[in-house]
Amino acid sequence: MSAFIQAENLSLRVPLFVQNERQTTSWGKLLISALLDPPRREFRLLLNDISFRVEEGERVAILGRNGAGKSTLLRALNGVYTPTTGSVSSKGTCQSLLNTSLGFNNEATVKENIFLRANAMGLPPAMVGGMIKPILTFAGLSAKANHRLKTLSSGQRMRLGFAISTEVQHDIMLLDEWVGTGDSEFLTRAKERMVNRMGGSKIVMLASHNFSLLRSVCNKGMVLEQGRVIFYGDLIEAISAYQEIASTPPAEGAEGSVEQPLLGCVDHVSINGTAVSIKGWAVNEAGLPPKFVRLVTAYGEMRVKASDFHSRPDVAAAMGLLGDKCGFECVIELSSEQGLDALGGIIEVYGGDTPSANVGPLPLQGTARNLVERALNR
Amino acid sequence: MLFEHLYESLKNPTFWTYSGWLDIITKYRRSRLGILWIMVPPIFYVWGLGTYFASLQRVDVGNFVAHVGLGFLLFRMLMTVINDSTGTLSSHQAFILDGHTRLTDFVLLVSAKAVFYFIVAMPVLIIALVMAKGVNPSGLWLSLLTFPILLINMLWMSVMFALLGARYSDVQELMGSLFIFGFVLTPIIWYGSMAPPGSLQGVLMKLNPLYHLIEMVRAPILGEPVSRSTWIAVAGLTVVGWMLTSIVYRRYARFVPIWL
Repeated sequence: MSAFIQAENLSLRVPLFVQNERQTTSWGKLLISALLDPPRREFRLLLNDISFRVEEGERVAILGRNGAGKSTLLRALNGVYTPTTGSVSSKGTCQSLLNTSLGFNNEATVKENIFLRANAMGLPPAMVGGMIKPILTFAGLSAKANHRLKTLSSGQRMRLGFAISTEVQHDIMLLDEWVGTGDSEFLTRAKERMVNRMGGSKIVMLASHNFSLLRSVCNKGMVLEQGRVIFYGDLIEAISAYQEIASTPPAEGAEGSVEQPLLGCVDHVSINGTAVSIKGWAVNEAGLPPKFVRLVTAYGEMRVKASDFHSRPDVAAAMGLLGDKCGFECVIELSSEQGLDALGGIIEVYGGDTPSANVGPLPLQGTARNLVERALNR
Repeated sequence: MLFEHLYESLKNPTFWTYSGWLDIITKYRRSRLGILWIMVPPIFYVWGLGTYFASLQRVDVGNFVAHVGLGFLLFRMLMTVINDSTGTLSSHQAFILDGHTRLTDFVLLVSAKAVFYFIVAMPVLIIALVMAKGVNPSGLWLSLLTFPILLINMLWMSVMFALLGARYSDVQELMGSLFIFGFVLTPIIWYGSMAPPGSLQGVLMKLNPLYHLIEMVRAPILGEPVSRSTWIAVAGLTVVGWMLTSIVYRRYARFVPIWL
């Protein structure tokens, strides 16, 4: 029989410890209430009646706002959280990569940690010996083999964890969103491994906000909102469904920040007579452009609405976006031909869904950065 | 479920032995004396405390050092296991949350480390025993039976305290502060005979499970009689402890990932 993973009416209720809200009038009372109030136990439904079945050869993108239950679902699928009601069944060996700290021993060397982690995965020691070299090569850490683990950066740890977990082929891979945070060169290799290892017989479930990664790895999508599956099916439709819920504010009492982090940059600054043109692109975690972009310079501020955005097919392709209207252009008319000096070396672009758009500033890149740096040095 | 997990853990010891070993060697890796540091506390406690309290209480130094040596090393092993167990599940949560749900691995890791420290301190103990006059050779043979009984009891305590510590972080704090108290309360730097049966000290001593476990191993080696109440207490501890722990483990082990 082929590999599968299935959830039937899966619900998970967990106790959370909440500190009582208290009216405090003084510093002393605040300290005392923090000291004496025991936390209250409160039950919360993290997963709510989830049913689906993933068949062999399917690679599922799990989408959802922060706190929608993506990580919790993955942990219920790998058997760590026992369902309150319903059941999870699967066939095939399962490896999950959900935790950034990965249970490494910080004081031990990278090589020793590979042994440790592989042992924890239940691999026979004889087999681990032969795996060390390919793991180090894949993670790009051969030169660091005998360094202590705590000298690694978080990106390097992630690479190491991914390399160890995927060195042995498992039928089912569960990956949480931090996997998508590596540098692009590593992500290419990681994608390759996830897709090619499939061999038509493996299952991948990947939670991420990185659409480019999701679109190149996955062939199905699942959207979670407040612990429920609200869409499960075609990947492109799933991304649209996610963008739809992501563009509406979260329901009362739901977790999730109002202002989402922005991706993007200012990549083009040009001067034509008295006009300074500043171009760039911006999208939020859901892959949608912000409703407003705000440019701040020493000369003044200006705002661009999303309806004035232009197409950026290059960005859409690189980021795996559904729509490509994410480019903005701000043109400042100066009173005389004084160039960038008039802007005082300040070119800051913020974005957001309110006119006061204040997420950012976006980084300057390429020609834009060169120009501004030159203007500052003069 | 507890016994199945223990069996599986014992059958696949590479993870917990290697992880424990890494914990030990990395701790001393950057120091000049290295792993020799492990020998330092036993020497201080056994010889330092032993001779000091022997002269204070005007008893025979040789015998008293042997008494302190056995008592301290056994007490340290038991108490370290109880102490470390309360935190072992939360400190290994990365493994647990990634799907490594056989919790006995993390419990055995703690016990294996404590036993390792005990074995490394053996030279100090052997010298103390050789120098003592009252050592009973046939009692040493008996320890081949009593020491495993002590370890078996240590194991259920470790499982129990691991679960308790994962659920209530208070337990971690409590056990930390009980260490010194337990050390003074258990007849390690004093003789049990100094606390007469009717007195408060005598009652507290008899209520202390660690006392019975230590006494069972120590007394025969030093040629002292083991009281009937100690044998009964140890038998009761072993049976009730394992029964209770297996029930608690079956009922609550699956909640551990949620508690962490």
